[in-house]
Amino acid sequence: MENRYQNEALNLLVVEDNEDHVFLVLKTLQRSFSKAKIEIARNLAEALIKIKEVRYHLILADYNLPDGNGLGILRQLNLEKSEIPFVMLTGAGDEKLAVEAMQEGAYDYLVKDELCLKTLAKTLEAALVKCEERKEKERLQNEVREKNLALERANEELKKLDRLKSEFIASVSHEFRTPLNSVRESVSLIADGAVKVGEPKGTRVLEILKNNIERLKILIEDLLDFSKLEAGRMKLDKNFHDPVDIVCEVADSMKQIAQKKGLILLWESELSGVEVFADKSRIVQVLMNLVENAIKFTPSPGQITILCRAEGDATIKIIVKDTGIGIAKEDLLRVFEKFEQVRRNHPGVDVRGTGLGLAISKQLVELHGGTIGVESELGKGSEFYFALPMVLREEKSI
Amino acid sequence: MAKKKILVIEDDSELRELIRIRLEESDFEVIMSLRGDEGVEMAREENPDAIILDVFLPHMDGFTALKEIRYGEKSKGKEPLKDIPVFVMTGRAPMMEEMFRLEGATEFLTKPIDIKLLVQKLEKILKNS
Repeated sequence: MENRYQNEALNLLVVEDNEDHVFLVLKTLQRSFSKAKIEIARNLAEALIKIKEVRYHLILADYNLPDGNGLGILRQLNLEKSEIPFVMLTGAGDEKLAVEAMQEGAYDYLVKDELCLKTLAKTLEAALVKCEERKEKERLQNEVREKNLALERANEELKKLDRLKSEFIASVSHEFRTPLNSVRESVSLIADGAVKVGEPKGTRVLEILKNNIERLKILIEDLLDFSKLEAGRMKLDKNFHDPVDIVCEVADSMKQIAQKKGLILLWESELSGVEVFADKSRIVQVLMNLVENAIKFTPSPGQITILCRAEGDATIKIIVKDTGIGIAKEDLLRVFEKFEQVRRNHPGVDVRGTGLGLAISKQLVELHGGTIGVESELGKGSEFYFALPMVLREEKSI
Repeated sequence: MAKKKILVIEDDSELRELIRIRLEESDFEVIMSLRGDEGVEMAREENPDAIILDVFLPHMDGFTALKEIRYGEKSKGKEPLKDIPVFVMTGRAPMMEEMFRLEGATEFLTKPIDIKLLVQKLEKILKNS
């Protein structure tokens, strides 16, 4: 008789105390499941030990056992949340017991009569198929559940990003409105004749006007850079440059601004004969951002130092060190995050900008194959640095 | 007649300076703070005739500052300032307006503000008081 488990190496357990029945059942099963390993347990205790030791594919158990009944096995399986198919054998006239077994989760039952042996193999095959189907169903349900969870998580992530973006847009609009207000009022003061150009107050108002137009320009540039970087459309115009030239250029252009705030700006370099392959304007932008931040967060009197040195023989490192207010430990990880503006509450510190400067710098440095980082302690100043791959001057001709 | 005294609480130094110039041109005396908590302190100590208050401020935001001014504890024997005109200005969406009105803001203005108009409103309110 054909059956789909004919050649499968199944582990089957038969629990039966009547030797004649054992003999008949074994003979029938060996014919239908020729590759199966069939074990016999002759009482409940033996069966309970065996199911602990072996993972059976199916258990066939008589109801009447010398030390109890077959339901004891089923209950143990249920207790262990086992999926092993369990088929019950009952004597003729004991169908009530069979119903009880089915209610407790038996896969099927057989009534011992003349027909029993003829349907035995088919019944067991059906139980095995049912078990596989149950497992498959459960597997699919789990898969669906996991996919749902993953979708839910992705959705949460998107919602969070969306919320951050909305908050960001609101805060950017705020950052635009204040300098715009200064521009509007400066123009209005001059137009109304409330201050006169050429007189000290008028000159000061014109200066404020100029500063705020510059602030608006920087805000717009930051936003454009950021959206370009986000979309992966930032193009670098790379060439060979001496990093010392870049440091010197930035230090020169920032020196006056630092002095105006009562800060000393110094630079030192230990490098010679090395270059970086980089978009100079972008590296200048990164370094400017770090120096501007240092000036912003360093009260007078204070000092800002730009250091330029080699790290090993493949990297150059540019460090901007200040004697400013520092950054709290819990904020250190967030300073390079986009949309995050770590508002540092400190008297005398004018916090302005989109909060995108460092996020932009990080992406620009990484586009160059470099890294950026910070070390700081509250009240003890900050040390921002970035590292770029080094090119030896002779190497580049090869 | 003594000059009317206006307290300006705004953390942007240049906008603060422009507001001061405009107020002084209109013959007001101006005192200023860039912090919410310090601003509240000055409101109690210096008896200004009106307050111009920004919303995003270091140490104490404008909303908390307004509540402090209106209902704050009787610190150092000073009474809460229930009637002083407070002009609130912000760059954020006007959805906060209701909140500020409930806490007793006299005017709620969204930046960029016409400061000349603000000064005219101040003059009108203070003339009636």
